[in-house]
Amino acid sequence: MSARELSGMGWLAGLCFLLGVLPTPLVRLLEGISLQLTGSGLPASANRGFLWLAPVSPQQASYAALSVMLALGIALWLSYRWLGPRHPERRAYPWECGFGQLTPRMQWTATAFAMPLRRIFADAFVIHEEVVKRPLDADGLKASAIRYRLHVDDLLWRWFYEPVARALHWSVRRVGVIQSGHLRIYLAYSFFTLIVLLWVIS
Amino acid sequence: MAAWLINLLQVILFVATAPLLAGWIKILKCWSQNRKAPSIWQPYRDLAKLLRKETVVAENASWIFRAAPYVVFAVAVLAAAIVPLVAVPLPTDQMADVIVLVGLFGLARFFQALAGLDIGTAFGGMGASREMTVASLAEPAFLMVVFTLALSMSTTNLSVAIETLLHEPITVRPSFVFAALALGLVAIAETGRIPVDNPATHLELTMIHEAMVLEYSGHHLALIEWAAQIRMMIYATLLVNLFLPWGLADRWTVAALGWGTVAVAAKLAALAVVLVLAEAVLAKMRFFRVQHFLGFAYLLALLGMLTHVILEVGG
Amino acid sequence: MTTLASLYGQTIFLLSALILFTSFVMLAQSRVTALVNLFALQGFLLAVTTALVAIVENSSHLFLSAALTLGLKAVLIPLLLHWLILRMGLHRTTDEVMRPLPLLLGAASLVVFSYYITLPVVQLSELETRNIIAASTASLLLGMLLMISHRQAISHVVGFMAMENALFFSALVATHGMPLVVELGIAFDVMVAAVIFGVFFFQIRESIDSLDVDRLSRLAEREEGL
Repeated sequence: MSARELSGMGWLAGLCFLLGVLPTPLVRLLEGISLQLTGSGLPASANRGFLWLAPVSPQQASYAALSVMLALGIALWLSYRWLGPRHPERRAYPWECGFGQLTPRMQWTATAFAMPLRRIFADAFVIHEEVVKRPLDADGLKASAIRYRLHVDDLLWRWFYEPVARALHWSVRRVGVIQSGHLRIYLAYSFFTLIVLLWVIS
Repeated sequence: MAAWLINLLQVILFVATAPLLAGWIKILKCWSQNRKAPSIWQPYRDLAKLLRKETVVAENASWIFRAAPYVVFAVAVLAAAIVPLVAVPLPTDQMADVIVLVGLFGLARFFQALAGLDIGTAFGGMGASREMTVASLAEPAFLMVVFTLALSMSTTNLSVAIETLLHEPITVRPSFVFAALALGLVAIAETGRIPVDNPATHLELTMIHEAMVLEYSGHHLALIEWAAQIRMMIYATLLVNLFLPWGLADRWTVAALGWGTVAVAAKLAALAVVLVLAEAVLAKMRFFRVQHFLGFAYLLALLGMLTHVILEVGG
Repeated sequence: MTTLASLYGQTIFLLSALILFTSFVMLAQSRVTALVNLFALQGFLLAVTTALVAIVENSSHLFLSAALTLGLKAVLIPLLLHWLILRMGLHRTTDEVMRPLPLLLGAASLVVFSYYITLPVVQLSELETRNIIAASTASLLLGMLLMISHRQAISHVVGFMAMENALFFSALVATHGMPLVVELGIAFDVMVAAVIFGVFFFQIRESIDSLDVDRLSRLAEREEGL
């Protein structure tokens, strides 16, 4: 991938990193919301500077993100210095279990990576999965082509959004009767509006 | 200043004795299977041998593959700096609390999974996907244990929690009993012991953790194995020092520190016996039964929190 | 009266948490013999708790209740149920719950619910064991959930007995224990109920050839002479 393509994701990742390492300014910015909603924000003990995030007190929970980052950097450098390579590393062809050349098609895809999660949390999704084999012999054990199709639907779409849309359509159809073009319906419409307004005024 | 020195010494002790714990567990396992056990220093010899050997890297490996072992090791060392091993009020606990510990483990797991996917072979991907699934089920249970602890001690700072427990008279809390059981189950899942994963297996289809690191050799493998041993010791120390904290030093005199070392060594040795007994009795589960195992751990932790709120508050 | 922060008090709290835990484990059990063994364990824990409360509150009739619970709920009724299981060959049937994890999480939410509904009682009570009222109410609801979620008739019996255990436990922690006459009457009723259940099992088995209560709603498949 070219540098320009990577920089699109790169600056977002960099911002996430920055916010993770220096969380206090952002939390202070968001403090206004919690002040309005609950009347209390971060206490003054969180004022130990932009390095520390201590929501209640340092004895109860505190996090110094930049220091942890620096410590991680030092530990990385030291482990590279002391436990790093003594001799140059040798490059070799990866082991492919005897199947011949490794192709990109043999890689683990995102669908495959998520398979155990799909299976375990199957109740939270609507999953349509099908495997179509074109068999070579009568037993169906050898196949000349295998196709796999997967489609995952959102459960909320089926259970919440679609009923709401159906209810909306039903009510709109009911209201649309007014626009049907009959003269007496228009007269009735104006009559009822007049009565309601008179009742509201009185 | 003395506190920082003690903290540094503790980290060095942690990192240096993690292979010793692994060796002791190996000896106990061999005894339980009536085999002749290797010496307790064997893991050290293995690490030294791996550090000396030539490292072979696949041709299509990227920088992630080569950087991941260092990240995993550095994260393990940092996590060891947060967990109190011998002495209690650690200054690093004011910089990072238990939730940061969970996050650090997640960081190491992330890099390991990426390194597993990096080469493009099938086993690395399988190991990465299974490891992430087990972690996604184990982390809620771990966090629920942390919440139970935080509710009881009203802090997530490990040093303060352990110090409070040390100075209290001995109380038997039902919430701690349940939380300890849940943490034990989570520790088994996260360190890859039977019944979740067999650390001595040679069959790739049954591997979870080993499949991710199948491509590593030489000093990379040494770093990853050492980091795994440190992680095992961190979980064991958490179990032992959070729920049975007596013996830890809270003053920095030589006598108290000595007692602390002896106490934690004895407790860890006893925990290893319990672990090996459990491993001898149970068989490795099918991968899709791990969700029931970890769901049970989550339920235990949830029950611990509920019994804390119901039975221990008020009254 | 000694306060419950002493060792007796902590043990009472621990045992009540374990009683609640056995209710949970009973919910997820699929083997019938394990279910009866867990019920026996619950009865044993209940007897020990009663004895400890008797020591703390210095009441002698609670010792008698503890002995009665031990004899009846931990020994006699489990033995009767085991004999029944062996007689009917039920030790090979499994009573698998379809989805154990949502059931267990629902049970946890029942515990929270019982905490909220017993909060007024807990705040008014003056006994030291008042915190356990929520746990005993939760055990009652879990016993009923056991009856709902399992299909074999023997699990229904165990659920019914577990509910009776939980009621006894509630009476123990919310009041100074039921009067001995009431205790003896209830114990006798439970024994008779167990015997009647046993008789009915044989009848049900004869008519529908299994003890799965979901099959009670199927029509008979015999030719009735059209």
